[in-house]
Amino acid sequence: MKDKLYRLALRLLLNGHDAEDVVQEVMIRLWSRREEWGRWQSLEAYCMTAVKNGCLDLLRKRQLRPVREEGAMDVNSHDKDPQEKMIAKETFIQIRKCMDELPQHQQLVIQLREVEGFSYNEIAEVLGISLDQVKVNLFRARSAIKKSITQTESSWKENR
Amino acid sequence: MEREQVVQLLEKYWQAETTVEEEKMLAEYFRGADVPLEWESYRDIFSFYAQEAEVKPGKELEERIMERVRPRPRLGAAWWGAAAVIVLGLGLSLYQRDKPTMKDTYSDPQQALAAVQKALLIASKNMNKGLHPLK
Repeated sequence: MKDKLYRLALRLLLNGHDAEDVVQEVMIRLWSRREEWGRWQSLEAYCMTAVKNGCLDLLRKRQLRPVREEGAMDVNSHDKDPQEKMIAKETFIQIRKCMDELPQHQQLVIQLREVEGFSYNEIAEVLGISLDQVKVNLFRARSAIKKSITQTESSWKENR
Repeated sequence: MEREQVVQLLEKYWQAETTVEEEKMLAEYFRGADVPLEWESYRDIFSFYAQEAEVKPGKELEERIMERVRPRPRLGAAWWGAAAVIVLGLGLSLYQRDKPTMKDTYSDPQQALAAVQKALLIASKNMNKGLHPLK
């Protein structure tokens, strides 16, 4: 679970150190309230919400937009040839950039759905929004990412 | 998966109509080797998400958390109570032991009275000494 919490924090804060701090705080708070666990519907949803809120508080306190830290963009080396790998890297950077620029709710919905495979119900619970809002956010985010990547692809091909 | 099915699923996917299961099928398909060139960018999107799902915090995070939640050997209230009782009891017994105890010096009342009168006489004699005016 802590990996999921970390990825969510990282999505919002774009900084590994801050993300780890928020996760640590949430886990310790969770531990101190362990007598109450039985009464909660979903421990995971509770923690995800706590991490989300912790991150938003931190961002609000700093009055800053998150800035992606250097070196956070290493690309997995799949069994592709170098040229293909480079293109993949280009598109990955493009997707990441697009995600970073999405409105917060769309970012969160994409993170929870595409990366963590949460159901609409789970996402609605974590974010405290309605099912319709989950769907609308997901639809917009997917469209934005599709648009950004198909544009890059075509411009890249034209430039060749 | 047949091409026709992929087209349908993709259509639903962009409309945010797919279920988690169907999205898993799509991801599985795009992980495969026979993805046509026209869908190359879609494959990148799915492999990007797959890569994001592999991101993990540093090893030290877990250690730091465990360090903070590990139950330290702390004495509970009951133990503190027991310790207080022991200390108190010990102190009391030491006090009792060192306290000077009264002992009778004479067994015969007459003798005792004589001794007291003698002592008082000596004391009053000495007290009267200083009463004579200085010469």
